[in-house]
Amino acid sequence: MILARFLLLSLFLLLYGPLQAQGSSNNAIQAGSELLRKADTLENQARKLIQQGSKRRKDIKQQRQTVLRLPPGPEKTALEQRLEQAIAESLGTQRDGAELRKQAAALREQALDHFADGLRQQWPAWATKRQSIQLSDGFSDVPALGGHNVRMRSVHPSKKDLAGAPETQQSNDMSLALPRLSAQQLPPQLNTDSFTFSRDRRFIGHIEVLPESVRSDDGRIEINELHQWVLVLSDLNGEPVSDAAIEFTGHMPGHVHGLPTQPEVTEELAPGIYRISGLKFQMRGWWVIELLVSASSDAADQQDSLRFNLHL
Amino acid sequence: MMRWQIKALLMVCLLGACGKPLPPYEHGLTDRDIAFLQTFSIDNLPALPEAPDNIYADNEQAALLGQSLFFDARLSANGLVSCATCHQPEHYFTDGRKRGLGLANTQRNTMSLLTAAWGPWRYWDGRKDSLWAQATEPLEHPDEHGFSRAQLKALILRHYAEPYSAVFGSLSKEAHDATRVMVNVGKALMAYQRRLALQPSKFDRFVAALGQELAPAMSARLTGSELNGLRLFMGKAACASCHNGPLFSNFEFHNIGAPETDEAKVDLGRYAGIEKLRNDEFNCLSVWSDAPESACQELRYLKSQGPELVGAFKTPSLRNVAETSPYMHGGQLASLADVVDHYNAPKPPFYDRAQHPSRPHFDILPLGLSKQEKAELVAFLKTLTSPVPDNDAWWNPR
Repeated sequence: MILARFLLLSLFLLLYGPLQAQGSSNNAIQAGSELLRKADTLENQARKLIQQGSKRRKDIKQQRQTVLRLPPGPEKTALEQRLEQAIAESLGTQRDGAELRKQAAALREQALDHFADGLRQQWPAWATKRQSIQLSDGFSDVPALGGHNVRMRSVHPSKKDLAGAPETQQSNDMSLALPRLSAQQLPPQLNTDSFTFSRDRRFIGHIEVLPESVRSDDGRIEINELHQWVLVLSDLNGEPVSDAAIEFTGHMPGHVHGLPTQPEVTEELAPGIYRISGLKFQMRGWWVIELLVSASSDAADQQDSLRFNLHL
Repeated sequence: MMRWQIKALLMVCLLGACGKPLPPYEHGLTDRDIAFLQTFSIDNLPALPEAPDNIYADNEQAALLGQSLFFDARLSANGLVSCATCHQPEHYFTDGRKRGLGLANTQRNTMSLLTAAWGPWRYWDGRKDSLWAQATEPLEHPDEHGFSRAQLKALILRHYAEPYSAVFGSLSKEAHDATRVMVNVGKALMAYQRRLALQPSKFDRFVAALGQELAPAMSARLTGSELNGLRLFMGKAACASCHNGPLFSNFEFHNIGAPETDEAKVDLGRYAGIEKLRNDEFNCLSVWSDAPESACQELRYLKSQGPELVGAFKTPSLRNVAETSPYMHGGQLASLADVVDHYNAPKPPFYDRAQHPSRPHFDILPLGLSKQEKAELVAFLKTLTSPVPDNDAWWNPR
């Protein structure tokens, strides 16, 4: 009897131990946090430099007006030379700012890698994939598959050429020319990461198909079929964000239409793990999913946002 | 490319016709093209969707009863209108008319039933969410069968008591009031329609042969212009965006700017359909449905807002499209050539501030197809016609 209880307890600990440990951030998340802090510091410096540069440019513009009004002479020449120098300096400042900003972005990407690793360690059942949602037919990676595309709600007969015509693009191993997004180009390297920082960098979110909601074994979805996702929502310390209010929207850039259904968060499966139900895609192409998130402690009007790109 | 030719030759040898290989045939499609085309093949049509709202959906007795009822014109006020009046098997269960004609002219073009078992919505505006619920509407509609529930129950008692009771239980039971009888008639009609199967079309046989790395039989070879049409369909003409999957439909709603049938009384399409669906006496969440609430997912996550719903109509399947003219929700376009012309140079949807809740969304772009390309596209669409089966007992009255 005692042995049985002991076994049960061990089993319990074995199963729930990792869940208990979820609260404490793991090394990867710590590393991610550090990188993100560094990135933010760099970003701030970059912003300052860019602002400085812009201010200098404004001053220079004014000074140039003054110089222009001066009669020709040594004073004008000297001032002109000084202006040239100032222009070069301001350009340098802006370049430095841009460079820092690039470094910050790279650091953020690295940070996201660490966070993704950390969250996958922390929630191995819910966070397994790095690639966002794909179709089961195996053609999600074909860049040429775009879908129809319009950039305006309706085209007045006199302006119909504004809409342009759909373009087609061939893929290396396909001879079929498939429609390409014409009005709103699919970016050449669309980021389809299933992990993302929120806009205000308060959260990190991950989306994944709930495997039991689809027909395929590998968690890929069928076109035109309802299915469910899980959203893993964590703060930047790796703590799950519970009881969040989440609004779900999705649209196709360049199309005026959105999703054919109104998906909703229907359940919090575990702390910070949300079930999203009622998802369906009626078209291939580039989809943007936006989740508007308010933590339970947030003010009524405070809303952060998680954006994911899908290329179906 | 040689591999299928050799295999084909071997097959031909096995069939005892060695020495007479098929003439060479260049289609120019890569393996990946073929794999992509297979996503449109009838061979990849998933099994009939589950129907938790109709426990008789796959009951053969119910289907047989449904078949009898389908062709029975006594189910109408004047004894002349049956389901088959508009859904004629020889016309792929359509009627060749702009708008259906029962006791009077209906508002919309008759849709084919051959693919009706798939997809979540019925009717052009999706105002019904099951085939059984759909079947009840024409029975009672004054322009269609013009029958009443009481008349229907009396008719079932008189002519169908036995097969009805065998499936649904004794009619004398109190539970079988007139509405219950009509619902059960609807469920039998649905069970019948789920038996209507399509044979492979030329396109399907073409893709199947290529998929098995066989040279397609002569009758399954797409001609040059059909092949070009296929390429246009998947590519430049962007038809496949919405007409996707084995039934060439995404079953959803789009406004493609089809001309209004009556500008004084605009058709709001899906926008109005959603209200009807929600308030429908027979929807998935109704007491007449056999489904638990949890099975009514489409209704639960129904999209009910957005400009894209205004004047939007369901993407029809393109299977047998060449044989089911005229086209669009009101039969506005007479021929496939007219349809392709419309897509090639679409007019934006008619907009009347007084009648529309918001400016209708417009879902298509001018295509810039040449005269030849338009003809090729039509040629391809004609390869989607399945033969009318001559030995399928479900296609005609027994």
